[in-house]
Formats: sequence, structure tokens, C-alpha cells
Amino acid sequence: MTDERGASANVLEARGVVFTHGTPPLETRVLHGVDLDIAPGELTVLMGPSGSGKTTLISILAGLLRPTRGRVVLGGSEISAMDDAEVTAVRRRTLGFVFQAFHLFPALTATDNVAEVLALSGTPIRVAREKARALLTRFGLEARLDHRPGELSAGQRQRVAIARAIVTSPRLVIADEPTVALDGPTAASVMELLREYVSAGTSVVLVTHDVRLVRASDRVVALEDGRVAYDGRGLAANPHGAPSGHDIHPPTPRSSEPVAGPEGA
Amino acid sequence: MHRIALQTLLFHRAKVAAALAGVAFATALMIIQIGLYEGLRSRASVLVNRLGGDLWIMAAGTSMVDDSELLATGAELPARAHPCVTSVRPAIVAWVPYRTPAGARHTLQLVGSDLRTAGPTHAYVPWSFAEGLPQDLLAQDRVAIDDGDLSRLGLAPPLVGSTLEIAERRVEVRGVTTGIRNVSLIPMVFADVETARTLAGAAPDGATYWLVDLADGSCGPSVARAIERDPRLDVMTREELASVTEEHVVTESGAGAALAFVALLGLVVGTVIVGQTLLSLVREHHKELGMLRAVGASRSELAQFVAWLSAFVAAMGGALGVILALLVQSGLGGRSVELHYGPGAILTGLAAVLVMCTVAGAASLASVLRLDVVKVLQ
Repeated sequence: MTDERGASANVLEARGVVFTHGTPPLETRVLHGVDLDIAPGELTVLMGPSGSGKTTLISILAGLLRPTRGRVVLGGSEISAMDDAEVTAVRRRTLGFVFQAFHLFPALTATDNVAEVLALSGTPIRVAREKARALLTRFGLEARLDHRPGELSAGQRQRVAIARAIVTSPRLVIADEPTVALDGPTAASVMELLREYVSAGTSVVLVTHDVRLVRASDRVVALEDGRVAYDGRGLAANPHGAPSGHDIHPPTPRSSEPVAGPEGA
Repeated sequence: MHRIALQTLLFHRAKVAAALAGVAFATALMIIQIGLYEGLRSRASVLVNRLGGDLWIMAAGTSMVDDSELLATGAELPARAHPCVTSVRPAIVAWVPYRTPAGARHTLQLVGSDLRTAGPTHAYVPWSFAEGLPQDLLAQDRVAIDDGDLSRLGLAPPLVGSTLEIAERRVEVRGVTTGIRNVSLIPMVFADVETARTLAGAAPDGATYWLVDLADGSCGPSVARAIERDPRLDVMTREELASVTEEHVVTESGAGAALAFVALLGLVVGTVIVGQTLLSLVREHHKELGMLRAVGASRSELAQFVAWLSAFVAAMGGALGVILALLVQSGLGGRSVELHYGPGAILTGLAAVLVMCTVAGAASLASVLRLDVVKVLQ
């Protein structure tokens, strides 16, 4: 996707991403030339069986791993060609993360867990705390602002984790199995929160095994053996359709309109 | 990062208490050992410094002030003849036999100085009188004793007016001092030089040391040369004799090495305790630190977490250690052990804390700098 000046408008672009472990002759290829674009305001569900390369792919997309080959552009910066300090700076202004296990500091209150991430970017702590409180209040946690993670339910902790991910107004949030530890209604409310931010222009890449999350997605990308096996609309973009079948299409070249998938081909 | 580090420490109170105890005890131990060392040095040379004098005339080969012998008659005459010398004073430092009232035999250290010349210009021994005055010792066979050694002397208050048997001679106690002890903890007895000569078996004009006061310090070498023409004599400045005495007591006796070894042991144990605690705290937070790294914290920012943990533990543990050392000092007040805490002792103790926490933080720092974010977040 390019804007009218020809520059890329995608939040993220990955081209020909290859990743191998180890050294010859014992090397293992985890990713085999993955291409992926993430547009602004899009909730993309990344699915695939264990060992398909999902974690490796998001680690590369976030600049936590360097691809063996290929190019990754995050927020307009080619992170695959940058050194560690430069990639760190790009992550700081572009990325938010949500993890299955929350990874909240047990010693900090809900407010401070959110505020300290904002303070890392140079925001004075007083201002950061005000923003954190406002955000957590919006997330229905006004009665839990000064509680530590150990005093919160799993759903409340995940809300804090989401608030921490979006408090810096990142262009892209990567959520790794954010609902796996949550019961059905709590998982649904977490997804609602994420959708709210997608509507406001934030892109979300959501890694999951849970096919139910496809209902909330704009797009589904399925990985299999280190390759993009399917790339198509999710149910949020096509509420009357199905998450697979006619709406799923082979990955490249990606068109603006879905084309027939394997079943329709 | 300092807020996260501080909150983390406050949250893990039990674990941190162990680290703080480690730092506090190691700091206190270091300060106390330095205090003991300084106390030992000070006690070793206290007689020399109290008696004063610019130059000390002594028997050749004297290695410390307690290691004295009677000088030949007239040893001080070259000094008296030198135009630069303003006064020459006798001093007796000798070991003398003592028999308790119950008949037990002991040894005392006898210190005699010319109390007639004592005053603002010449310091005198003894000092720190609890009962009596220096002038009370001016008559023959009068002595002062220190109240710290009464049980070993077989004595009990009231002391002034009681009679002692020293060197098979009966002397009267006319003064009681407090807190004067030598490094060997052998009881000390003080007298005017006339009485001391009698008790030490010296000639009426004899001495174990002659203390020389100079009009001009620069003529010291010339005076020393004149005296040392006699091969049986050595001359040292007061500072030199104090220094060799301290050296002998704290170094050659092994006391200094023993104190240093204990201090080092405390430092090592403290470092291990703090290192283990910090490493455990940091490892416990690898996932949270990995999350911060994922959202853009640099490696140096993660390192700051460890640095702040170490700094807080050092500051709190160090302060507790100084307080503990001061409590020990006040608890030992008046006892046979002397702790001298100069600014050097406190600063060295605090420097030790710094070294301890820096070394202890190294393993944690390495663990943070090598943090594999992808692995810890999986």
C-alpha cells in the first residue's frame, strides 16, 4: 500500500523474510520468505499450529530478532538494516506489546505499571501517572488504580497490560495470545478493548490459536511450516462471511480485494 | 528505573532484609576492624605521644617503646651540650614484678616521667586522673594505678591510700587513672621519675629514655649525630618511635593481618549475600524487564534497574552498618577494647560497601545485559 506520494503507508512491511537457526549442516529454517504488510487500523490475527514460526515472525517484525534474509520496515524505518540502539528507538515510538502472561511488575500498582512505560519515553512521571489513571479508568479499573497485579483478577491484569501497551499511542500493537488465560466473557471484553483502539487507527497483530478471535479480526494470516499459507479477511471485516473458505486466499501478491482461496480456486 | 527498583526492593522485603543485613554486618565489621586497628595503633604509641619530646634517646636496637632497657649513665650529655637543645627529660618504661595482697605474683608496666617539669609545655604521664593529681606523685614511693586492672591487681576500692608491693618495695597509691592501657593489657603503674628509678633499679640519674626538646626542629639530625657517636645509643624522632612501635604491634605481631583478614572475610560474605539476593531479584523479573525491552527500553536502561537496586541496598545497608558500628563502639565504652573511628574508618567502610555492591551487582548486570528477550517472553 502506498500513499499518493508513493511512500509506503503501511505500519509494517516484511519482504522475503527468511530465518534460520544454527549453522550448516545443522541449520533449521524456521521462516521461508514471508511477505506481510500491516495497514493502519487493521486487526490482523496471525494463526498457525505450534512450530509454524509465529513467535519467530513476530519477534522479527518487532525487531527483537534479526532476519537471516529479507527486509522489515516498521513505522517507516527499515529495522532489518539498523543496529540495536536504532531498532530500540523505533520500537519505543512505534510498538506496544501484550503478552499472555501479562508480565506486569508485581511490585508496582496498576497505575505505575502503565505509567513507567510512558516515563521511559521521557514523559514526566506525574503526567504519566495522570494519563495512566485516565486510561485505566476508561478500561473500567478506576477502583483498582492503586492495586498491585497480585490483587487483580486475570482479566483486570490483562486490561492493565493492554493499557500499558497503548499508553504510548503506538502505531502497532503485537498481542501474543492475550486471551488464552481468560474465561470467555473476559476474553471478549479484552477483544472489545483492542477493537476500540483499532477503530481509532492503531494496528493490532494478534497471535493466537483461538479460532474464536477471528470473529473480531479484520484479517487472518495463517502460517504453516514457516510460510504464509492463507491471508484473507476476518469476520469483523466481513461479518456475514466465514473465517475460512471463499474468503481466504494465497498470500502473495496481496490484493486490495480478496480473491478465491484454495477451496474456491 | 529508580522508582521500579525501589518499589521492587520494598515489595520483596524479606529477601531484601537478608541483603541489607549482609551489607550492614559487612560494613560494621569493616568499620569495627579499622577502628580496632586504629585503636591498637593509638594504644601502641600513646605513651610516646603523651611523653612528647622532639627526639628520643634509647638503647641501640630498640624496636618499640615497650622494648626498653636502662641506658648507661651520661647517655644524655651530648644532647645537653648541644646549643639547639632546650631541655632533656628522663623517662622510665620498664617491666617490674608485683605481688598482690593475696601473695600472687604478676608483672606491671612501670612508666615514670619527670612530673616536676610537667605542665603546659611538657605533657605528662599519667593523664586522665579519676582520683588525685600529678603533683600527688611527686614524693618518693607514691604511684598511680589505672582502675581498669583492679581485679588482676587483687585490689578493690577505695584505692587512694592503699599500699602495693612493687619490685619488693612498698609504695602508696596516691592517684587513680581511668582508661589507660597498653597493647599487652598488662596493668600499668605510674610514678614520678624518682620513684620509677628506684622501682626499676636504675641509677639516681638513670633512664630508659631521654626525651630531647629542640629549639629548632631542623637541628634534629645534628643532635642525633652527636648522640649516636656512642654505638650503644640510637636516636629517633617522636614520630619515628611512634611509627615503629605501631608497626611492631600491628604488623609484626600479626594483629593487623588478622584484623584485615576478618574485614576481608566480612566483605566477601557480604558480597556473596548481596550478589545472591540481587541476582535472584533480577532473575525473578526477567520477564518484566524483557517486556520493557520489547517496548523500547535500551540495554542501558535495564542496566539502570540493577544499578539502582545495588545503590539502594548499598545506601540503606551502609547506613545501618555505620549505625551498628557506632552502637558497638558505645557498647564497648570503658572496656579493654578500644575502637577509634576517624573519618577514614567511616569512609573506608562506605567505600567497602560501594565495592561490595558493585561486585555483587556484576552478575545481575551481566544477566540483564545478556537478556534474550525472545526467549524470556515465550
